[in-house]
Amino acid sequence: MRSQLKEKSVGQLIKPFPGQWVALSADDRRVVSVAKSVQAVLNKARRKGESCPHLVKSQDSSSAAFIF
Amino acid sequence: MSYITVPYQKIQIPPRDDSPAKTIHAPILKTSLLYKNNERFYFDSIIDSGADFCVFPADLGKAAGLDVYEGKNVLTFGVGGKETLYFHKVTVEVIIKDEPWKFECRAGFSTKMNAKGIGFLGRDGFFDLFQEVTFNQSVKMFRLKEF
Repeated sequence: MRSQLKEKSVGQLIKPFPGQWVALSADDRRVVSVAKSVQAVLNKARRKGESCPHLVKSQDSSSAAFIF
Repeated sequence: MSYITVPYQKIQIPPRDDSPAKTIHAPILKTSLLYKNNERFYFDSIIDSGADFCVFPADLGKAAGLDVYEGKNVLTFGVGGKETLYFHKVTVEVIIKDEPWKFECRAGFSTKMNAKGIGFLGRDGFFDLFQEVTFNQSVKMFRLKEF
């Protein structure tokens, strides 16, 4: 039977954490850790056994566009 | 001659006082910096034909083991103003359709980009991997033509 639970996209997974770094599992299916800095989120993810996390910065309301 | 076609990815931007929430579609690839057998992690990078070099947030360089601010510093000018970038020779891996592609380049590391947390894959290095890189905005896809 097909699961009724629709898989969440990366955007949906990181949306609750604006302005923070989110470490996702290597398959992008779950949030492993959340922190304000790269090093902190990486350390937390490794402590939880995620050897190769995908780090994504959840954008906050100041992110009007990606122009540098 | 073969082509690889990849859909753009979505970036969600929350609302603010003067603008509603929006979604940006951009040509993004999962990226990793390989340096001195560091422990691997991935982050997102936008393919940017306007960037001379690959540029990554300084914090991601540090996490990969680089002594970022010991790199050769170069004053650069872009749409967002001027900034000093710190250059290092690195091996970059990008994931395209679940396959790893690697290239070496001199990449710049930017303090200003820490706020966005996303890298830029520029012409020196990334674009050299392919004969052509084509963006199709109307269908939100990009296409890579292999050598």
